[in-house]
Amino acid sequence: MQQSTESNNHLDSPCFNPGSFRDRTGRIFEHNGRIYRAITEVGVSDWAFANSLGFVQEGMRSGRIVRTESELSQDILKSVGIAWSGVLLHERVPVITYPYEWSFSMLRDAALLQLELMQEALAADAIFKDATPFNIQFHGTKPVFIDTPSIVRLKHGGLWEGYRQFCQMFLYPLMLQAYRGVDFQPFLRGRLDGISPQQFNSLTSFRDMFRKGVLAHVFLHSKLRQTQEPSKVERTDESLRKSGFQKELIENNVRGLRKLIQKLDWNPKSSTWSDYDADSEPVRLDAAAKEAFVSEVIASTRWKQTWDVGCNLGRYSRIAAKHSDLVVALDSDHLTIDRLYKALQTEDVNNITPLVYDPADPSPNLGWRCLERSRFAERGQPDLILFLAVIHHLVFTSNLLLHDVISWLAEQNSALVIEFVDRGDPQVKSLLANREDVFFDYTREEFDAAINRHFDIRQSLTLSSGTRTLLFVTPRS
Amino acid sequence: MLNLTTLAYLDPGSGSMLLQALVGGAAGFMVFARHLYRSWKFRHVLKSNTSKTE
Repeated sequence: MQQSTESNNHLDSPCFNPGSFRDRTGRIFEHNGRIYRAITEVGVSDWAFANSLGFVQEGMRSGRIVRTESELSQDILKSVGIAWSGVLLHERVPVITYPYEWSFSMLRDAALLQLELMQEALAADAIFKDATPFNIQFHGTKPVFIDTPSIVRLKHGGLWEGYRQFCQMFLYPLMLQAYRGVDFQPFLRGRLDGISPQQFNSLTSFRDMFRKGVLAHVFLHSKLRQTQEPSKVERTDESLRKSGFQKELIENNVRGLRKLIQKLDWNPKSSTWSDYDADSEPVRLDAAAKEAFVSEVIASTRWKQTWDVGCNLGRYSRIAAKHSDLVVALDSDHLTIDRLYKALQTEDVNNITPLVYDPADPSPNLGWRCLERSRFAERGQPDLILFLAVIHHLVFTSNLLLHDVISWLAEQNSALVIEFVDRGDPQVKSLLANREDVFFDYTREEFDAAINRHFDIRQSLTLSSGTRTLLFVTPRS
Repeated sequence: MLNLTTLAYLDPGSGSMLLQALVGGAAGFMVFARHLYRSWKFRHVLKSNTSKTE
């Protein structure tokens, strides 16, 4: 269940978030910039129970669970209609992100948080009724659980309803990355319910069968699912309960999954961009002057939300973090983002969220009516975009039109620091080394014309390499 | 019949439920075995009742 990013400024009929519908005990809506959740009578009872649990209170204090309180305003309660018996007020998460935008370590940390909370819940005779990464968001690099109605009483002999979902949404994507070296994001983006046991079993090799967790959670899972037919006599959960199923079996499973996921690792030596900062000569030559220019612009005011597009190892994201409430560090290179995420966790920075993001192939609207999961641009509104040495890649590698890229930047209605890399630059020559140059639109003149059409130039600097120019521009007033 | 899933909105999948017993350790194997026996018994009883009525 996700928090809303849509505004709803009247109380007559709350506009429920289109992605918040699966769990019928509660629905998210936004009013006056605040995030509310309308809950049914069952939801009220569940929340009263969850709120009384020590681990929930501790989780809200430590930031592992989103801070939530009962909304006492009668106006809000009346506005949601008679179908609802209560309203909860949630702390707002700075930016909503989806698992197909996370790196391996982010998904792993989210999985470990889910399992850690599960263990604490089970100890208190409670359980999470689902297990999806869409219930987890990031405060900087810290995962936080946001779907409080997930926490319910554990019935005697009850099973973990979310186990299969946990496998499909967390375990298999992590195994796919760790065991097969295949990026999981396209799988989660391609199917919002994740990878089924049968699908993932088909993706594994014979050798994988000997890797930790594969035989039970993948092979057996897929085979048991295929052979099980609905019983005409007795429900499977009832039969298992009468056969002696107990909470300890769930605890053993959760403990095993936690150990398994803690050991899953993905750490290839390098990727296309993981060593970019260190290797590139023009980058080294221009580094000091470029950093001074960008730092001056960033420090000129306080920014609410900065996007660092093509952030690489996060040099400029870190500078922006000192003068921004939130920095979203975006790069299409998975390994680079994973390394940045891990590095930021060891630093005293809590307002940078790194995401795997390709401007040429961004997260689209997905799911039911194409409204369930919104495209990235709808979930954030930058007031500063850093677009440093990215445009030549979008033109030469992704085949985008130069003036289209500038128009897209203008649509964000944000201040912009952009670096233009001339055709004489070694990076451009390298991109064109093995292909025909059909990019007649990529010239300094076309760039200047496109910029002048949409922006006012505030500052500019030609770097010492002579092939790179920095511009600080703001939307045309 | 006691409904254990009144609050759930997910279909946990019968195979996934059985696996939860198997990955739960030695006690889980016993639960799984007892479940198989119950299933066999129910099928056997159902079959003999059906043949008696024919």
